[in-house]
Amino acid sequence: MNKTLKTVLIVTALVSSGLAGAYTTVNAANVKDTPYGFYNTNLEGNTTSRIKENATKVYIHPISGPELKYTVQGYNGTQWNNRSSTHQLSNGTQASFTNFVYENGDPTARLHLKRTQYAYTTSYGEWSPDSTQNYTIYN
Amino acid sequence: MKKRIYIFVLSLFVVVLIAVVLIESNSKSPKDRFIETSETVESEMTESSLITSISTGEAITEKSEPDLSIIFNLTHTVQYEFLSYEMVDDTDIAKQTKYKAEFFADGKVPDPDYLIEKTDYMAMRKDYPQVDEYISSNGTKGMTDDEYHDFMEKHLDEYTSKRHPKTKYLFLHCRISNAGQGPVEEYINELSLYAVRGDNTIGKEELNCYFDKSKYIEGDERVHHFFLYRFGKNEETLDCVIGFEISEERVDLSEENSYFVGFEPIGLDNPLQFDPSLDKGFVAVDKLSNET
Repeated sequence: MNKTLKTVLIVTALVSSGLAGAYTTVNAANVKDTPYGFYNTNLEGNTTSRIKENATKVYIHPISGPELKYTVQGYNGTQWNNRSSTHQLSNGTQASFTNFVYENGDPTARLHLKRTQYAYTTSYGEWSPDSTQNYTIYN
Repeated sequence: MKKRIYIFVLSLFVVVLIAVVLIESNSKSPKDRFIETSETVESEMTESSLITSISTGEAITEKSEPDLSIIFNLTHTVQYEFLSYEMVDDTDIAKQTKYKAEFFADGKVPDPDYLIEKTDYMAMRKDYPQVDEYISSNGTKGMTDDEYHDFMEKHLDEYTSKRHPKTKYLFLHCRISNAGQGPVEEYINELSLYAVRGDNTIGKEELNCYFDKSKYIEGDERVHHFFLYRFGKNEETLDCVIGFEISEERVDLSEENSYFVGFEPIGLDNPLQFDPSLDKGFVAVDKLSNET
């Protein structure tokens, strides 16, 4: 291999590696919380739907009111399907729900909520469809 | 003498007759007077209700042009007035200096050539039936959790590629006011942006990118509550700029779109079957003043 060819190859490799390193790889994630409320005379209800951007856990943080049972659901374009197991959470818990919304190709997620007691009061909390860290994991 | 009296009475009669004719000619029929009176009362009522509406902050629904730049949140406790907008292409986002790094959700100006990782789960599931069974059953069949994690560590990269999605950044100058009776916690990221082309809604983004008045800018608080704002008292107003990152991952950017900002109705299943142009809870962005 002559000297010129070697030089060209080295420069090409350096430029390529430099360019590759210049781009930021962003782990797209929808991690900002939004609130939910559930009035406990209803048997069940849903949060608004949100965009699921990756395969991370769904974050759920119940704040006040009677405890609820939670299931993560995904929308496949025609119907909502359960994409997690169901768990009851107590107030103050920072829950990371294992779910399979993204793996199933569902673009949006929501929480399905079920009451655990009949009451004339509202349960409040906040959640996000993606997360950057795991808290208490619920499989 | 008798003749003088006769002339005086006749003159008086003529004067009275002329006066009556003149008065009648300037008057209006009962119907006209009714119409005129009704219009005056209506006009006074409209003026009165306008003043009442302004003083109480209630929406004006009659006899006035609706303000197409104002909407309320879903609980009707916070008012959003949109003043102007600016659209910035990803190729220009790093060159501009108007929108500062610290106000972007992740604390830095987006890389114009950023890459995202996409995993082809459908291909993976086709190649490995036990993985397909595990995912289909929400992690209860096909393999154990540990086996799935081991599998993903070994094989995830085979099905994952990187690419740069074309992206636009929409910045909205807005005035957000507490319209309730006391303190309000407002999650501003409940705002959604809908993209419409022709008669079709083609995509949606959540508020995800920029807020120049965040109070939660450190660590875990920034992660969770960057878009949360606590209004302390009634009528507190926040003058701010918010920003949407519009990615071709969710919105086709190959042609021009119309954009609408607002709050998605509760219970909406499929955003693509929703027409924001017909919903009073949405503001047409291109009707606002363009700062570009």
